[in-house]
Amino acid sequence: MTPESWLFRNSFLPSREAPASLKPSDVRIGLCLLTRNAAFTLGRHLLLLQHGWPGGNAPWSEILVADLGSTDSTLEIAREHGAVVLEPEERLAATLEPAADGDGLRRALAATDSDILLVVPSDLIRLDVASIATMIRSLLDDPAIKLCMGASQVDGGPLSALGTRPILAAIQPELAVVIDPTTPLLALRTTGIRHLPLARTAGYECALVVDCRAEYDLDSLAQVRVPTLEWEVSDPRLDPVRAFKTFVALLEALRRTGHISTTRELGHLFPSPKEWGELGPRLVTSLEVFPWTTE
Amino acid sequence: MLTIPEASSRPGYWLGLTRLEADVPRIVAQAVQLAEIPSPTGAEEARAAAVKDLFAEALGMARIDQAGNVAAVLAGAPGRPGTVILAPLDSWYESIDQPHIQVRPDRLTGPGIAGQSIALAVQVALARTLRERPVQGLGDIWFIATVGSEMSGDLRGICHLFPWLPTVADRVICLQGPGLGRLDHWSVGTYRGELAVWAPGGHCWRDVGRPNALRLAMDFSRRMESVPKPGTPRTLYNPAQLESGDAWNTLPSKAVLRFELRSDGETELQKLIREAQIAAAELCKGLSGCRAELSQRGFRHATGLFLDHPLVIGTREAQSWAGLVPRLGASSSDASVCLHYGVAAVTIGLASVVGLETQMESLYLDSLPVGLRQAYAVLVQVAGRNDP
Repeated sequence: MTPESWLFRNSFLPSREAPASLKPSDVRIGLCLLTRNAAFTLGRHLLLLQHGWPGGNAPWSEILVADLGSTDSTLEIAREHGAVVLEPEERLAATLEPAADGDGLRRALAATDSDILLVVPSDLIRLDVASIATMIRSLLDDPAIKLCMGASQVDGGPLSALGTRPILAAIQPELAVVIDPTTPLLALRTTGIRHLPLARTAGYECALVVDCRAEYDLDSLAQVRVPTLEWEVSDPRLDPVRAFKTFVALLEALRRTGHISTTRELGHLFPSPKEWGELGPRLVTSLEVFPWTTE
Repeated sequence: MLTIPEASSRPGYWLGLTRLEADVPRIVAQAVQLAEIPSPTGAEEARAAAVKDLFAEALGMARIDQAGNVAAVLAGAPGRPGTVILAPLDSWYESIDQPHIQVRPDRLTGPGIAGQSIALAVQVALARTLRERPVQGLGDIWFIATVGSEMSGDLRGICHLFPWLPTVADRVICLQGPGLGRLDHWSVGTYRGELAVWAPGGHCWRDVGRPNALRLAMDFSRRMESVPKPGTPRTLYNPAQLESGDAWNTLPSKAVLRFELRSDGETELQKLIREAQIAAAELCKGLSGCRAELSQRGFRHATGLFLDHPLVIGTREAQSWAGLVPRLGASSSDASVCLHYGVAAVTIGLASVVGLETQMESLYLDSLPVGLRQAYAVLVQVAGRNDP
């Protein structure tokens, strides 16, 4: 598939009919909310996504809340709404370290038995039901699609427009047609994504796009234009640390897929003084791309 | 009007109530969604479209009339009298780009959630419930969401329904979010006036002695304050807005005073209106270059149902049965127009609310089930009546 035909076939606008078209079927659709101190927004998402679905029948076969180290009432709210809570393995460390979205998704993928998983960062203030339903619809309609991205804004936002897209355009040009490769709003086919390498940190999304393309083809990707994402505080992608992690994860994915070469894994170029083990410098929580040693 | 024992013995009553009570999360979710569609008075189209979709989903069909009201009907048993249930479409704010409603475990907070949106969501839920779990022997029920119910709308939505409304129903229930246990059976007589005063203007120092439009408007207000007002029936004058002036050192050449006269009694209201007209007429007497004009911006008669009216008795009974203590009162809402045209109408509240008509308007969720129970019981009582 050429990038031009991909834009034509795999780029969608939200459809108002999409929510009502998602009826319970053999395909199990799960919802995964990534949370960290999301007491302000989580109850709202759970309420609207469960009970505010047009037609009254929300499509979720399961609702997972993958926590990234909350210290407020996030988990209580999740349980009150009947969600399955996936707590971080090392709770204390998770509360102290920066949020590790990729690790949350990894846990969700391990726990879910859904065929399709909608991944939503819960610090979004609003969710457009038509858009997320269209994302899911694209996966239902085309078995080749493994990952559908919710592309925010015309240019995808500063991190995508000024950071990752130019890198992709230079190194892997066919992916330059992806509007918003850093979008945290994703719908994915669990069987197709589960075995792919996944950066544990925040900013894993762009690397996942590269890995998905490498494993399958361009037609494994799709994008849906979503209304501008509104965040509780500010767009986390504007955080320089997260942007840094995004770039490292992206470069690592490009290295892993053979588009660039370095003598060692990229993560080791940026050692953290926090952990200096017997095997040399290693980033554990602030920057870890999995699997490090897969060649 | 059925009594509660009669209503609750109708086949389907308890199944419907159970269904409605189980629907609370969906009602709350839809209230949030509706509240987040900005709907200031005069620009209700987007929310009206959403409400129309919800009614179409619940009842199969809904329409928007020329005024912008959304109407849907649940056909009942032939030969039974009809009932109208109303809820307001417009919110109190003048312009908010994108209202945001906070959802907390115990409450919802945000502009418009408690005043209007919860009433709309409950109205839709009642339609859905009675369609899916019909109660035997009810007449036609018209579900109408009205535009222009707030101050600047001057009830234009409900006014548009006349003279059609009395041809399909002679009982009206108005749903409002705030005021659990509230039973408004009386329409507060209201006159909304706008006094515009013009004066020659000039410089405050150089042209000293010339009339001042702002001062004249304040004189009018002072005079209205000094008019004796009885405590019973309750009567008041409220100066609401005053616009005037251009610069620090000028004599204002124009002033606009907006005010409201309210009374539970029609005679007292008319007396007060007369006083306002005389005061406006006398305001500029003997002042060269000055002019005052009083315009009516809204009017509602002081009228209502007496306590022995079957609709009041039945509603009180339903509220008591639901576990509420009925609080009889008067208000100025869509019911005012119905009462004026001789159609029996009451207004009931659905939930406990704080901070009404502020950005932090909050609705307490634990109060909603009892409010729902009350609304359902009243509706079945009224729609199930045999008497025309």
